[in-house]
Formats: sequence, structure tokens, C-alpha cells
Amino acid sequence: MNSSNNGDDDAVVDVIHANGEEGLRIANRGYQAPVAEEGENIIQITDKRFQQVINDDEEVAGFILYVSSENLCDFWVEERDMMKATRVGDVIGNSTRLRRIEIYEFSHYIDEDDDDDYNPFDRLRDFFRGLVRNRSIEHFALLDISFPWNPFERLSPFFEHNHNLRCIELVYIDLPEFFESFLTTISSIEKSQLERVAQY
Amino acid sequence: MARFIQALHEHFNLMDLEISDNVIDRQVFQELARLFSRPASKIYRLHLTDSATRSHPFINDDCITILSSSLIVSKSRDGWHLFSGVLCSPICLLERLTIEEADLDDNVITVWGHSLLASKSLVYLKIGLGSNSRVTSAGWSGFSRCLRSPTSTLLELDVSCCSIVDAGAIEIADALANNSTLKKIYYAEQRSDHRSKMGFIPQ
Repeated sequence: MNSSNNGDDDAVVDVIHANGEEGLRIANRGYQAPVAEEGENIIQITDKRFQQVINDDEEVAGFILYVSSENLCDFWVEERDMMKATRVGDVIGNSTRLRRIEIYEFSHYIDEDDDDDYNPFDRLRDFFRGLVRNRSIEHFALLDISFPWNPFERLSPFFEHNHNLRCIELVYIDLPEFFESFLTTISSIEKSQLERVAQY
Repeated sequence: MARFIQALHEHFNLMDLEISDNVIDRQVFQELARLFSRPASKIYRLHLTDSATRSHPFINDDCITILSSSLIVSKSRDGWHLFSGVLCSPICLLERLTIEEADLDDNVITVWGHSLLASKSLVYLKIGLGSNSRVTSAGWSGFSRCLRSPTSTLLELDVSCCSIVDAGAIEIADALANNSTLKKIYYAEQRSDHRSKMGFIPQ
């Protein structure tokens, strides 16, 4: 499963700069992220690619989930079906093919018309409950999420026991509140695993 | 942040570290220096942004206040000295380094130029000074020492976000006269009418 580059591979790549200029061919050493398609509402259960994940299809290597308040997938908001959130997490937890998952923009969003007991983070918690069983994901990213609870405590089994994990990206996560748990998480990961860490 | 870097010391296969938009003070520099000076260090990429003036919607006001204070800036100066020395040491494997919105002055960028003389691995360097205009032609003259060296490993140098004035550009151009290693340099020409022209110089 682990396809990490060990640093001895001198394969070269074209470097393309932000200004469009093609750069030099420089040895592309270091961490190489698994390729993942950018999904639409990819976690809808009717989505074809989601079915491929259910079937553990080797063609689906990654998920990029957009779960913001403005871009929530149908089942997160409209159906509000906890069982489905749990099921998506379970499917990802059971997958042996998924190599990359990125979870974006999950904001605490409660509409005025919502039920008093509705909280989208309950769905995310249910989703994590399944996700933590996954042992194939190599690239894990959380971006733009203001957690009302400690995500590292919830995800600790995933970090500790997923020996394929090579990359952690935490981008615009309100870390200070959970900093001690974050350090514990980093320490719990097998020391030979991590190839990339991004925290900003 | 320093404790976070410290926690990474044991992860001996770490190749890629991105810690933009964090407060990079002396203590963080020291921990980074320790991380990079491990004998078995495999870190090839570092993305480091000292965003002293950036107002990012995801940085809270307290953080911006601390970043903008001169106290942190003056403390980090020694850190730059230490850090450049480690990053450019022969045992460091770092190949690509991007430093954006850096709090550099003539003294510090001269130290960078001196440190780069020792590097055996760095092939790409981008320095972005943001709104900082404290690097003068004297600083670029000092920095250019590394470009004059026959042992320089730099293939690409991006100083397009450094607001280099004519005198500074001349210092760099002079240094490149006998440099056969550098293939591309990205710069932004600063004109008296405040218009800029972006470009690169093919070797």
C-alpha cells in the first residue's frame, strides 16, 4: 500500500510556477500525495464514485469532501439522517483502497428553521466514528473547520493504528484549544511513517 | 509551535514540512535548526512564511498584534542567522526553500548569502519580502556572494517579490557574470513610477 518515495528516486518533473512559466526539471524527491479526484457532492450515497468506494474499487483512490454550511451535501442537511452519516463513515472505515481524504469547510451552521437539537457536528462526529477504522488512508487533511469538540480524541485510533498514514494536513483549524491532544497525536504515530506535515 | 516542531524530531522519515502563517520566533527557529541538523534528516521541502504583516481572515486579532510587534521581529533576527546556517549546511538535504514575507534586512540577507556558500543541496530558493523594504543594494551585494561561488548549487532563484531597485539588480547581475549553475532567476523590476515588470533571466 505504501508507495512512498524513499528519496533515492531521481525521477524528474517539470516545475510550473504560479506565473505560468515552466520551470526546470528538478528531481522530485520527498512526499508525493496520492492523486484524488476533486468531488462534487461526492459523498452522496447515490453517487457513482461513492458506490465504487462501497465496492472497494481500486479506481477510487481518494475523497475530497466539501461539507461547509453553504456546500453541504444533501444528506448532511436536508435528509439529516444520522444513519447515513454513520454509513458514509463506515464505508470509508471499511475501505482498503482509499488513500486520500480531505475534509473541507465544516462550519457550525444552524438555520433558524432548524430543529433545536440539530447540529451538523453531530453528523461529523458520526462520520468520524466510522472513519477511525480505516487503515488505508495515506493522506489525511482537515481544512477550515472550527471544531466544537476535540477532533484528535475522536480520531486517535485512526492516527495510532493506521500504519499507512504518511501525511497530515491541518489548515485553518483552531488548534490552540486542542494543542495538547494534537501533540499527543503526533507522538502516537509510528515514527517511521510521517513524510509530510502541514500545519498553518 | 516550538513544541510542535520538537514533537516532529522523532519522525525520521519526514520529508515535507509546511508551517506557514505561524509565529516564527527564536525558539521556533532553534527547534527547526535542531530538526534540520539531525544526521538522518530527510527533509527536502520547507514552506515557511513569516507573515508579520499579512492580515488573514483565519488569524485572530491577537495573533496579528503579536506578529506585528517589533519585539518578535528583533528576537527573530538571531533566529534567521542560526536558521540559515543550518539550512545551508552541507549535511542538510533541503532542495527547495520558499520564504515569503520575510522579516529580513541587509545584515540578515547577507548572512543568507554567506550561508548558501556551504549548501550542497539547495537548488530552488524563493525569497519574498512582502512590504518590507529594508533590504538595500548593500544587502543584495552581500547575498550575491553565493551566486559568485563556483560551487553554488542553486538552479532557480525567485526574488520577484523583493521589490529590488536598480542598484540591487545590478549587484545580482554582476554576481551572475561567472555563474554557470543558475538557470533561472525571477525578479520584478521596480521603476521610479512604481510600475513593476515581472520576468526571468534565462542563463
